[in-house]
Amino acid sequence: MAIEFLVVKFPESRDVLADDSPVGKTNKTLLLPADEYEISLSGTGYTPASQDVILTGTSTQNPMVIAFSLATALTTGLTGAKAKTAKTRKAPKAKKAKPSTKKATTKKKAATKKKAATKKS
Amino acid sequence: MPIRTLVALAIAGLLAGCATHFVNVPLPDGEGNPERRSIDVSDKSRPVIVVALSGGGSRAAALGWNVLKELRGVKYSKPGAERRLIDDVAVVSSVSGGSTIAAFYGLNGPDALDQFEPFLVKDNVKSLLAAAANPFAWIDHAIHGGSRTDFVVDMMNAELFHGRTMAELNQPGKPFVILNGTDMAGGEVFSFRPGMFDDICAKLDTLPVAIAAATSADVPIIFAPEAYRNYSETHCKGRPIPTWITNKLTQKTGPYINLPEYRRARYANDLRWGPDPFRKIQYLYLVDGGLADNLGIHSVLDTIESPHDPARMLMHINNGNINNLVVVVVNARSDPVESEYTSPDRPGIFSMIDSVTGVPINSTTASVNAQLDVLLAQLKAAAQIDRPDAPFKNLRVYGILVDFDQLRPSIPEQKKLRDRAKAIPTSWTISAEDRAVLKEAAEVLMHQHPCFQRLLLDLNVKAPYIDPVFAKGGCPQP
Repeated sequence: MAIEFLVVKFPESRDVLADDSPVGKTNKTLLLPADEYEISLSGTGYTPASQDVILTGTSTQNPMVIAFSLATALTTGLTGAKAKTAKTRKAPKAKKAKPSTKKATTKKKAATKKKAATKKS
Repeated sequence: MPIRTLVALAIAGLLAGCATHFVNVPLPDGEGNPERRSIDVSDKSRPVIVVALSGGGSRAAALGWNVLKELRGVKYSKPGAERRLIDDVAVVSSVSGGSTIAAFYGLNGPDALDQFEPFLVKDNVKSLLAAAANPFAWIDHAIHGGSRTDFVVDMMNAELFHGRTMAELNQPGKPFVILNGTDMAGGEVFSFRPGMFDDICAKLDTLPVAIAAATSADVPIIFAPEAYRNYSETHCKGRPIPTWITNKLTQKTGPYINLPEYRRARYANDLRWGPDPFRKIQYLYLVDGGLADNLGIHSVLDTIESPHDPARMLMHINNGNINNLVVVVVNARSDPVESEYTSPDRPGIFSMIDSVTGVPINSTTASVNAQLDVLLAQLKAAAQIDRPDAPFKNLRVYGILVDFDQLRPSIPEQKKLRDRAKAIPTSWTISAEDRAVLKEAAEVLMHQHPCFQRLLLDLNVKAPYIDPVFAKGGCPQP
């Protein structure tokens, strides 16, 4: 069977699974026989849960490239971004006097951040 | 003939109609067949060697034996230790006659190879005929639902395996020894591996090696097919179907891109009595592995390129854990110079039977061999990749096909050796002269193969027969 080339991109090094069998690592060019595969990763915390790929017609110069993302970056979404921002703002707020409405907003954001951290764990 | 003998034969004839004896037993509830072996990739500079041994009775056994001894004879230096090439053999796939030496080697290891010789020296055909002439042996086999194949099982147990079981082949630190048979109903390769026995919900560990080897060498018509029960019908209920099987059977484009893999999945699903089967398989009648593939290459292809093969070789290649892959294919095909080409008489029925079986086997074998050649060439080409993220970059692949046709007719001694080797008949008996021919053939064929020479060159092994220019030209590497 023809040998094809696949790259699975992910921010971390994980095992790449083809139909649940380990075939190599993320972010490396992998050799696989031409076929259709359900590609997933080892461990958890990534999205999507799997990707169906039709692996044919590739070459060393033009491998098929697919990507997974960290699930935490998507599931926390805006809350996560705000939490990070809140973390940054909190320090200056302690130094400067803020209007009462802003104080209340910051406290709300801290609470949201705490909630998000709890969800994460 | 004495009356008693006639009566015994008559009883044997009547009892021959008794129920078939199935040689395998079911798996206990909740159990599977463990795979205890793995490929040692602790030192990626060491070669990983895969060997395929063809069919051909004692001719194939002797040639395979001599090739393994050649591998044992090559020593190379590693920091802190000296190794032999035989110690790097990770997989041995075999059919028919090759399975006798494969199983013996797997059970006893490289240092006991010399103990295989008595099997080649003995006139095993004489022993078989003597056993078959005993009417009480027939009665015994008939009573137990056996067949004439049991005589071969008895011979192999007596001469080689002594009741030892497949569990002893499947131990940590041992190479994957894969004995291959043919499913005579569907023509599929049936390999004596834990995964395949999981498919039929049967226990592999307790199966005698003699039965597996005899099945692999079960020449149809001369011997009866060996009977196996598929216990998936009645046992192993509720176990999940492996993901790769379900996926291959449901993916839309799979059958168009990789039809052989789709068929493999379908066969496994059928054996497991999975959903929506193509066939309901209750019984398996297995015969000589040479019918489907007389070189045992299907299992070699599986171990190298299949993502779900338990050897995990593809994963190791992709992880950069294998830098040197060596594939040795030993083809003991007989092909006598004298044949119908020089006879003015029309061939008779036996010649035609020989052709009808032999020609398709040789053709299929050549086709599968070509698949292996393509795979190795693709791996070599892939290793030329100019990407820093490719762990298999610079993988070295040494494809060593040992075939009598490689003996050089331009050298009179080799022409004579070739013609003598090709004329050795397929039998369980081999003469001392023919054993000597095969010993010499193995040595010459290995020593003058450019990839064998290149391998030794790359391992810094000194040998008088190495021609660096020939080796580098005939076996280029990255």
